[in-house]
Amino acid sequence: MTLPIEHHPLSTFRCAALSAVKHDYVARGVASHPRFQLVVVADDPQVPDWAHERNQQLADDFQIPYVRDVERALHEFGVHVAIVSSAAERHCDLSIRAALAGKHVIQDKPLATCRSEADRLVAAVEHSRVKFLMWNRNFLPSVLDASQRIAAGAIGQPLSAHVDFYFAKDAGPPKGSRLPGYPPIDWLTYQLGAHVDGSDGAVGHDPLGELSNEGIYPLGYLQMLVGARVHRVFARSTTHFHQVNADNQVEDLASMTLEMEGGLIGSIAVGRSGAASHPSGGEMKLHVVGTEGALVVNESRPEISIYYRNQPAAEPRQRRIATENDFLLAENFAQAIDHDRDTILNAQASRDIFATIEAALKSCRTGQPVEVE
Amino acid sequence: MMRLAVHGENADWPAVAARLRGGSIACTLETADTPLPSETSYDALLLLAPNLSHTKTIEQALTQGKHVLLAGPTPLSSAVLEAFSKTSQQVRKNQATGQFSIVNPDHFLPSRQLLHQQLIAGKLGQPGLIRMHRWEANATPLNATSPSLPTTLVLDLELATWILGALPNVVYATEAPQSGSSSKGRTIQVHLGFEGGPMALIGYSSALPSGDDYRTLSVMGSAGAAYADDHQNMQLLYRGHHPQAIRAEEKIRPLVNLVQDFVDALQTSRDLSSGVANWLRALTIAQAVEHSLASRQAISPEFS
Repeated sequence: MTLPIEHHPLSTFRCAALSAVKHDYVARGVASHPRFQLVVVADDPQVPDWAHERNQQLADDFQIPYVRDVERALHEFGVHVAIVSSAAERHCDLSIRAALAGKHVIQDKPLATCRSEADRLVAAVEHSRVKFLMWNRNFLPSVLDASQRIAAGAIGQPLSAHVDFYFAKDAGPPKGSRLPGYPPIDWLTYQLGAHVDGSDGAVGHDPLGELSNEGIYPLGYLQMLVGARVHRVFARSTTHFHQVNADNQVEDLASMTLEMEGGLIGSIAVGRSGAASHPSGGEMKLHVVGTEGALVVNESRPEISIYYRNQPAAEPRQRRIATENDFLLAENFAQAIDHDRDTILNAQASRDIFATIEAALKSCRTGQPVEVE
Repeated sequence: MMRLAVHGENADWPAVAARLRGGSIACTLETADTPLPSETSYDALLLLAPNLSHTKTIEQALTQGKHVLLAGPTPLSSAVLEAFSKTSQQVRKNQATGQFSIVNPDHFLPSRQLLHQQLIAGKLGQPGLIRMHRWEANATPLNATSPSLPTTLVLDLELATWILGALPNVVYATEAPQSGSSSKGRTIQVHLGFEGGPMALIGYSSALPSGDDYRTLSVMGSAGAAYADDHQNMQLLYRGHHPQAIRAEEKIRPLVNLVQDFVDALQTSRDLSSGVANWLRALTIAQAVEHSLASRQAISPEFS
């Protein structure tokens, strides 16, 4: 077939970072691959000043222009790939505009904040026949190794798969700390302030709980490990740790039971569990049971431990090593473009994950299992 | 000195006796059919993983006014346990004789004891999410009639309520269907919800190949977390190719802790009746799990 963008294998992809206000690590991660070159940062002119400042910062770091006109940047800079990491509620809008302009899209999580936008994004990607990658963690060494072992039949046919995914980060004052008479914490104001030390979560006007914001990661693992779509969910959630979550009525701790194709069952525990809950960023584990055996995987391995006098409390005691997630995701995306393949987490799979989380949130409200649409 | 008659297959009773304070192993019952010793030669009966063939022994000991402690897992039903409890109350003249109780031996695992102590001390804050996995090679059904739950899963249901100090108000369960009638075993996922937000995920599988089992327990508290995971306690044996992982075992300590607690309770006339009530509640949760598996709906268990 003819690719929508004329491109020769092994040539460089010119990239536009669209609204790099949430996590510029996506743009930086893509740019770490030698075949991807960040050539412009762009955003809509009406975004608030703090967004312009963050965009300008990234542009300055890469010594490239910052253009306050998304369409102009996409058309005038020879862009092949748009990298979207805006406030969550703008993800779909920017990705759809890029896709309809014939650009391949790499997007930060979450896919969307409402179903209609998610569906519109899938349609736009299919219509324009461009590639889409939801940024994820599936190429972390331990996850990749687990996936390869399962695919090779090391545990037989998977029967159940489970993921623990806890971010051991604080999010402002603990739940219950607001004094009488004090106003609730404003979500966006808090997230903007927390950006300084990197402890911000889902920046945007709409508060997002951990299921919506981080659920993509463990569900992405399951999608790769066992390759089965989730068709039914039972979930529970609570605000257990942080006042900002309590004030904005979004969960910071949740659990899901999953029923998947082929009778496979699974579960996910997800939370932003506070810095005190783990010395090195959080407990992240995979448990997979098969007909011939089982796997227990610590997502953070390989790692080394470092301890020293006067070590800052916030410094992780265990450090991950040999991680190539950024490179491998970008390589996967390049291969998808070069050879017209699917990416490791394409638009439809991302939409399926969105629908699973949507069903989980409904289950939390109703107290009953919910079919995934 | 509290003199115990004991039964438990593969238990190292001499090792327990050597570590016991204020108690002794007066008699070891080799099988369920082994008669109890003379009434004057023992004060209490302790049975590990009792089954239906132990009912006469238990009844006899209770009728003699002896203390009886059962350590799960056990296929004995709620009705049978309640009957034992009634017998105990009828025979019992005072706190010093004839107590009947049942315990979850996992309370006495050093790892679970330490975790529970930290929780009780408030170091972890309020528990919010408990995650457990138990994988084993062979499942033991709760009752003779299939497809009732494996007995070891009941231990974990009880353990979750012990750690959270509360009873669930919602139970949801699902099972990998191909494992239901397969010789490969059963794989079950149980999801518990508690008033105010706490939750528990309990994964069970008897699909492991023969060999060691695997267990893990983590607790996410509002002020901290605890991870009691076999994965953390593996030593490595190198004999070519990939190394073998060998678990650093808690060995005899869980059983010593259990027996010592029983002896201490009897010597201080501590009331053990809550053990039966706790176990009956765990069986109620197990029934809700079965109802959920059958109906594919979330169930609100009704506790008496």
